[in-house]
Order: sequence, then structure tokens, then C-alpha cells
Amino acid sequence: MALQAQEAVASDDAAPRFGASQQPLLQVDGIAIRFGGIVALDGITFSLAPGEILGLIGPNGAGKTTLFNCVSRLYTPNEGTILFEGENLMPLSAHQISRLGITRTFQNLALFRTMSVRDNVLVGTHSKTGSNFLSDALAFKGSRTVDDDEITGLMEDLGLADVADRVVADLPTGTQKRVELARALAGHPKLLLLDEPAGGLTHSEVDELGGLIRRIRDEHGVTVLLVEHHMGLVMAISDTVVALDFGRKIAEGTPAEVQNDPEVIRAYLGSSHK
Amino acid sequence: MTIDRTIASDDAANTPVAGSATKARMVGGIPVAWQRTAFFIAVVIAIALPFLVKNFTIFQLTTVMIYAIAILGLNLLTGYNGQFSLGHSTFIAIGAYTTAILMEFAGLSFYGTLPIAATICFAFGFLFGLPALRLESIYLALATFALAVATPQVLKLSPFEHWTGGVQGLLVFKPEAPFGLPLNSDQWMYFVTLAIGLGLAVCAVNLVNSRSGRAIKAIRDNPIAARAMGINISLYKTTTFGISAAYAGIAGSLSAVVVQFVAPDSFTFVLAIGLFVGLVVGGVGSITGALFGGLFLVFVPNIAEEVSKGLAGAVYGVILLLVIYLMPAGAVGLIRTAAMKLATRRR
Repeated sequence: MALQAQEAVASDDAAPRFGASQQPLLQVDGIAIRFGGIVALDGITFSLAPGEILGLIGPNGAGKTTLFNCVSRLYTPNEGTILFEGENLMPLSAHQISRLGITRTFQNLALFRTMSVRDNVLVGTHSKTGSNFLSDALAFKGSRTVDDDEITGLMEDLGLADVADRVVADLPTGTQKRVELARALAGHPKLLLLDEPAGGLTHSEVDELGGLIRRIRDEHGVTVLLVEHHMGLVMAISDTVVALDFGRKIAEGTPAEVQNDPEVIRAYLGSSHK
Repeated sequence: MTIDRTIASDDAANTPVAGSATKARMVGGIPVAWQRTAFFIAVVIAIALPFLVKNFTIFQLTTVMIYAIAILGLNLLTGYNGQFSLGHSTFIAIGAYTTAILMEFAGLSFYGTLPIAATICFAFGFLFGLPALRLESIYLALATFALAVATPQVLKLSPFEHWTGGVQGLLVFKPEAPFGLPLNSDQWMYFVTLAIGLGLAVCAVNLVNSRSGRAIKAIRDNPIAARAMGINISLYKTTTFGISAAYAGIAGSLSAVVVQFVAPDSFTFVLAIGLFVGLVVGGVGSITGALFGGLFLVFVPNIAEEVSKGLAGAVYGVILLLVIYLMPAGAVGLIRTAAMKLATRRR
């Protein structure tokens, strides 16, 4: 499944990485959204090249998750556009996003709690498979069915094979996080949105997560947009980091550049540390 | 991923089946072979019963299956999709009247009216599902309850009286066994209901274990995540409402010919609440639970009456309380727990 994508990433490595000549996979252009009188996002612009890992950072309430919800169309921004492979996402509904190849995980785990791990992962294939109530009730197998071996392989890859038939609610947080990841990957995304994947994990789990995200990018050929509080993780795996504060973009660049940006330091530590 | 392995192996230790070389195929912690055997025995008993009991008992058992079909439909909606309905008596009424009117005025045979009743109920359910999309849980329960309260009065309205027979209702003829089969009409309708019920149960099992079924359950568990996975919530919720109504409509259609009579006061909100009771007693989110729900609805009021004629209602209430207290997950939940304990002990 991942081979052709791996090649694509490999060729990226040879060229100057993520050059401006490439068409961006995701282009966020001047996004603004207000809730009542509160400006949650104020003209955010950035873009993601294919195969890139972009880390979105910012203090609490900076607007990171709001931006995520705009991309996955749970929120409709007041201004601006979001283009995915050149297609405008604004006229689409939330349920049409995954069909284009954008899937996500959630900040506070949004699993189907009474369902088994396997069923959760299978729901991830919903937009890439086809059936209707009648064909399903009559157990008629159509042409667009799930590749069971592939799902089993994906669960093995993420260490879920032993718990495949367990109900999700009974599993520890770290395992549930991997179920969400497997569910998001099951739909063959081109763009994976990870909302605080390290939240609730132990130190060693966070270290492994970093390696896992890079491995997923390489093997599944996905581009990753990552919202994360865990600075160590973001700086270790991101190609580009975008910093938000009070709904505005205050910095963008390589992890090293953003780490040393005075605006970012001020946002995190307060103005007295200037 | 070392930590993954430690977590996974912990989980494996808790799962009785994992790791054993000769593990039997299990679904829900119960060996599939047991489930198959139980199903086979149940079908054999169901086929033998009408030759062993008297006609009135056959009628009662047919009624059990009719209730079970309606409860199955309600379960798809409430148990699997998380939409409450206290108005399913309406769809039963529509199904029953469709059959009665078409047999009376269009001269159709009962078998011809059945798919029409199902289709009309599907359409009604689907349409009712549209405004229901805006209502959450208890508010949806109230809206559907309003439907149930209004139905008998609408059926009595004088403009429709020519078709519905007004307060008096309509008489319906019970079909006789065809091809000279040596069955009386009670036995024949029992087998018709059994065949339809089994067919609908198989469809329901297929459905809840399919892509559509996973979508239905995903919407119940987490609608926001379901949308992000590409599930069109409006379409799935309204279609589920339609299918649930179609099941109720088929039950209504069968009830018309089995009772040989349709009248507005057979379809009051008491029936709707009865279905809800049957759903909970049988087991929410369980296909086989519907049968236990049907048994409860038909036989428990009789038992209550035998205990005390004057206090039948109170006895029924006490039985209901006991059942809910002793079987919080319904009859099927109790059986499942017992079978799982047995399966674990035998290993």
C-alpha cells in the first residue's frame, strides 16, 4: 500500500525539500472566524507541501483546534478559503472531506466507544467503500468492499492485532490513541490531521509516537498537519512549524527558527522575558 | 514499539481466547458453535410448536412474533442508531390499515399488500426522520409520542371514514393455507409470520454487521467523529428511521390479518410504549432480544391477570420492575452473561 508513496517521498528528499515550485497539498488562505465577539482566527495563511509534516503550535486558546475544525469543515470560517489539491473545501460538508483524502484524529479521543477496535478501524474506510442499506441487508458483496487483509495488516502495524475484537471503551488511553490513528489511516488519506496526539501519553509513549508519525508519513505517504502542545515532539518531527497566538500567525519556519523567534518566546513566556 | 507490546499483552491476558492454539471462533465471548446450536434448536421448536399446542396458543405465539418484528424495527432505530421513538404504534397502524384497505377496496391478496405496506411505512418513516434530525433524544421521544397520541384520532376522522371504517374499523379476512396444505389458517399464518420474521431478522443481522450498520452505530456513539469519517449523518438517520418504520409496518400488516380486524383503538400510545418496554426487556441493541420482548408483551399481562384479577396492572408493574432490576441488560444480556461464564469455565 505504501510503496508508491515511499518513492514519492524519497524523490522529495533528493530535490531541495518542499520547494516553492511544487503545488501545495493544502493551502489555507486568510482564514478568519469569530464566535460572537471573540475573534478565534484572524487571517491565517500557510500551506503544506506533499509529504511535509507541519507542526501547529501556540498557547492554550490560540486557535489551533479551531483551525483544524475549519479544515475538516466542522466549522465554517467567516472569511478566507482552504484549498486541497486546488479544490476549494468551503462548499463541502464535513462528511465529504474524508472522500477527498483528509482524515483526522481528535484532541480528546472521539472513538466509537461501544464498538470493537476492528469495527472502529473499519468505519475509517467508510468514504472509500460503497454499499447501501439494501445490499448490506441482503449481504450482497459489491465491488467496493474492504480489503480485510489490509485492515488486519494496519492493526498489526499499530500494535492492535491482539485487541482487535475488544470493545474500545475498555482499553487504555495509549491504545485508544492508536485506534484513532488506525481509523484515520484506514481511509488512505493524503492529509492526516493530528490533534494533540501526545495528550495523555507517558514520556516513553511520546518518544515512540514521534517515530511512529514519521514512519506513517514515509510508509503511507501522507502529509501531516499536527497540533501539539508537547514542544519536544513538535520540534523533533516537524519540517515546518507555524506558531499561533490569539488567532494570529506569529511565526513560520523550521523548528530552529521558530524556537528562537522573539514573538514566539514572548507568547509562551510573557513579555518580561524579552 | 515496546510499550505497545506490554499494553497489548496485558490486554491479551484479560481476553480468555487469545493465545490458545485451538481457540474456538467466538463472537461476543460466546463460541459460534453454541450460538448456531441454539439457533437450530429454536427453529426446530418453532416449527414443531403449532402441531403441539391449541389454536389459541398458536394465535398468541403468532402475536409474539409480530411484536418481535416491530421491536426489531424499533431496536434498529433506538438500540443501534440512538434515536428514540415512542411513536411506533403509528407505523404499525399505517401498515395494518394499508393491508386492510387494499384487501377491502382494491381486492388485493394479503401477500400483495405486504410489500406495499412496508414501502408506504418506509416513506412515512423517512419523511418523519427529516424533522427528527433536529431533535435530540428526549425531545425526539416526545415528538414521536405526539404522533402516537394523534394517530387513533386521525383514523377516526369522518373524511376518511369511508376508507378506514371510522371508529368501528375494518374486518379483514385471514388467508387459508394454499396448495391444499394440511394446515388450518392459524397454523398457516403462524408459519407465514415465522418465515417473514426470520427473513427480517437475518436482514437485520446482516445490516448491523455491515458497512451501513457500522455507520449507524458510529452515529450513535459519536456523531462528530462519524461525520469526519465521511458518514452522511442525515441520510443514514432518516434511512434508518424509514427501515425501522417499514419493520413496524410489516408487523402491522401481519397483525391485521392475524387479528382479522383493524380499529383505531388497537393503535394507541399504549402500544407504542409497550414496544418500548419490549425493547428494554428483551435487550437494547440485540437482535434476538426482540423475541423475548414479544414474549413479555404477550404473556406477562396474562400471568399478571392470573395472579390477581383486580390488581393485574400492579402485578404487571412489579414484574416489570423485577425484570429491569434483575436483568439490567435485558433477557439477552442475562443469557449472554450466563453463556460467557459457562464458556470460560469449560475452558
